[in-house]
Amino acid sequence: MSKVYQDKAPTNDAKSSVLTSSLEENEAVFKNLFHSCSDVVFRSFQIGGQKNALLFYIDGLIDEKQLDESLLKPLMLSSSPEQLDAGQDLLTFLQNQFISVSQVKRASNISSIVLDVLKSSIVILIADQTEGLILNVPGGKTRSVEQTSSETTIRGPRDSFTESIRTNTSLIRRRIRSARLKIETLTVGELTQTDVAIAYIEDIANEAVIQEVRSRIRNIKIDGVLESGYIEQFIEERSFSPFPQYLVTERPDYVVSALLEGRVAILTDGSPFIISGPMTFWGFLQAGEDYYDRVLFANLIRFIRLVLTMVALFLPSIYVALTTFHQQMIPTKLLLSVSAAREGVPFPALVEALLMESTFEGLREAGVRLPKQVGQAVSIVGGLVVGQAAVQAGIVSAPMVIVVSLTGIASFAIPRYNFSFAFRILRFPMILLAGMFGLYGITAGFLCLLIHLSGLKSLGVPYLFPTAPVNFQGLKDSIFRAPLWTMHFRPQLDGKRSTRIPKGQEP
Amino acid sequence: MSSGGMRSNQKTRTLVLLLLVPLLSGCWDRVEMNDVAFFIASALDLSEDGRLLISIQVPIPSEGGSTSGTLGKTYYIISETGTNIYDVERKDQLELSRKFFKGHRQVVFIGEALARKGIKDIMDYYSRDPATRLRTYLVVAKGKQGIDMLSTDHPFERIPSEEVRELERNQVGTAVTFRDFLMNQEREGIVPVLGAVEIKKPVSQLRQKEEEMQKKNVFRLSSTAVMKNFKLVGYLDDIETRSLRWIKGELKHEYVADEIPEAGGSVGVVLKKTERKIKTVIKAGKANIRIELTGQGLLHETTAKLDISRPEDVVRIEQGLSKLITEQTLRTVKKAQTEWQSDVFGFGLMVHQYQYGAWKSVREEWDTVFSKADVSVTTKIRLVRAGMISSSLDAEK
Repeated sequence: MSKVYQDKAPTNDAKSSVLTSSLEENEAVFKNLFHSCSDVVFRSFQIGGQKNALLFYIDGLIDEKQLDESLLKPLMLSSSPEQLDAGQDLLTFLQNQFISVSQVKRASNISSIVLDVLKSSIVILIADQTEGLILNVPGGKTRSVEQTSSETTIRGPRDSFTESIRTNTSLIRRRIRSARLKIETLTVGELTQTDVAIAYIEDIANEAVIQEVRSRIRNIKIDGVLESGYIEQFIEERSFSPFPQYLVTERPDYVVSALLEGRVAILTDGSPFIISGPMTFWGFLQAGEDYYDRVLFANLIRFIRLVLTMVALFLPSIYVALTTFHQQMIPTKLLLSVSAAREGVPFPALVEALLMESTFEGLREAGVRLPKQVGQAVSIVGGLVVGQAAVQAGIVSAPMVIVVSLTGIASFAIPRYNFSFAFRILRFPMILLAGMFGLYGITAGFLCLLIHLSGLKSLGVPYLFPTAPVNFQGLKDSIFRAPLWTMHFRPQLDGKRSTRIPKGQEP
Repeated sequence: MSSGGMRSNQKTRTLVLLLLVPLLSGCWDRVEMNDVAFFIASALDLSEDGRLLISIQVPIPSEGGSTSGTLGKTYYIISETGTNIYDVERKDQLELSRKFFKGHRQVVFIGEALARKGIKDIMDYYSRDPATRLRTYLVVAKGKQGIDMLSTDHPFERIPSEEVRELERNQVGTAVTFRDFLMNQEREGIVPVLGAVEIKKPVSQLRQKEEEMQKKNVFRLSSTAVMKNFKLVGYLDDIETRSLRWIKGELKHEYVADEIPEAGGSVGVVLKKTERKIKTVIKAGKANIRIELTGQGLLHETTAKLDISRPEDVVRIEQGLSKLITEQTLRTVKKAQTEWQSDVFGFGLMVHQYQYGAWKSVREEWDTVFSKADVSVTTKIRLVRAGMISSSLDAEK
């Protein structure tokens, strides 16, 4: 283990040590470990009025009501003291007859006991015993399951993940009632000891992919994990690609659909965002409603979304290219109005575009960071002052404001928030290329983008799957979506074909 | 390790050099819209001392696209004389603070005087110059100087040449672009034509302020200018233009209205599905041209007594119309034969294309052969509909 993240606290010394039979010694060890930890509660008591015992836990992480009712009360009031002298069998006896808690285990290793305490367990140490009882009684305050604010839906389930990994796994398990849904837990973070769970469906997800994810997560050495983004950045293939390689979502139905398609989901304790991979380009352009709504409308929306994605990437650069290089391509009347609007604007179109796009991105960032009440003011000031006044003052031209707003609206139409980042980033180099080389520059930029996308992979799956390499079954769910009853097979991410909707179900 | 260092050093050097490449290219097409003066139309004329007078119409952008609603003067005209077009354009640039840009020119007017003198030298420049669009309409200013066309204030369009462009696009008269003209000029067996525009006062001046309305004029795209050997030799009027376009197969739909004595009144008919069949027989240096015109007619107006349920009524109108068309067509061909000896219809072209052997024998003297050719025209018009009321209002039952 790397020494960088090692805690200087005595945990290190206690690592290999085990409990002794002396309760006082053991108590001293733990009190020493948790010195100056005001949230750790030590409680000494006697079992049945005879045996000395010590109980400790972290306040706020456990369910105190259950502690009082199911532990302290039966133990202290236990009325069969003769049994308590039964030596080594005492723990078994207590476990069997007095402790009405479901998750109980024994441990003697001090470091593992410490870890359990930190993960919301209660530890009971009893005099003359070299093992302690560890009772898992989680409690305390967590956020309840609420409607997601970042991924709203009109038709579809409303619940969303919370910060608690247990709640999250339960939300998934509730939807996939199959023993084939596996949820493996790993721990990442020297100090935070964050639970990271890998969920997949056995025999549907590719074993090699699961193994790869497992080993990538195991290899992470970090002091703390605060968000699933930490995990994502350690396990993605290309950090410097503008395109995300994992789905990030708060919605259980998205995760379940990913699992059913043979993808792997990674849950991180403390984060409501669950990442899932392998993901493809077309996957990022899909929304849940594409499948919930009827096929014609879903296709219309999907097509519009694709067009808007292109708009978000190219509109400002095309405007710059046309107005500074290819005036022939603009219809005469439009040209006259655009050139009239540009009359008196001091900046070249390129500078104007960069200026307005930066302003828009700034407004957007300010809107996200500011408290809700102030956010309204920002949009009014931003919209009115920047839009109206700047045009009237002749600093920017009205067509440019229209172009920038259209681009902004278009980028909001991209369903996956992390995917729209790619287009927001790429817009700027595209504008620069357009301003320097016109449509030739845009074409060159687009070609570079295509080359990059063709080489990109997410967990070994080509990013442009199923369009490159072409997979005809997969094309049923790419730019357009075929009716559900014709999509017989799961996406063949690993080349294998498995049936999900048997044939012959045409209504 | 040192070699690795060398390599990365080389890499950065290569990268820097590559990044410098875009800066090295001397020719950069980038030009801001506000540094460009768009030519919307030009007019070519003969100046009094026989030199070339070229006028250019440039829109004033700040007013052309404003939303204020008031229509001020939205263009201005610069004129220069010179020995050739390039000389004039050079002088024009001296008067313009912005670089001129011909990519959006819609129309080039040619003054009648210049057209009669010949436009061969002009065509050389326009076919050579890459900035001139081949889709620009070429129009003869009938009986006027080209500059008069530019300075005409039009009631509809803010920029008058826009109006001419729209007229040409409507496909009612002869619409010829540089491309069409140059193509027909190069072909054998056809004499190119150009559209010709007249200026006309609008009639509805009654309630307008007299002096303001005086300036407003409308264009009338009515006739066709025959350009034999790059020289204007004469005009075909609107009826003759119709015949010309029908024979050339350019006619899509057409309004025909005239007195039909056979039917006992006047009719107004829309002709659709107009077709033509031309058969030229060349025998011993003599040409025999047979023209067959067919079309369907939709009756829109008639003063004749008509009962659509009586076939003889319909046939009377059909025959009358056919006779009218035949006469008009014959007259047009005769005019081209006798007045100009110019095969504007492209009969020779068809011979050239379909009977090359025969063409070889007449190619040298096609103009004479054409002017002496026997021409016969048969027309078949079929009335298919008679509007909302099938019979005349006072038709006898």
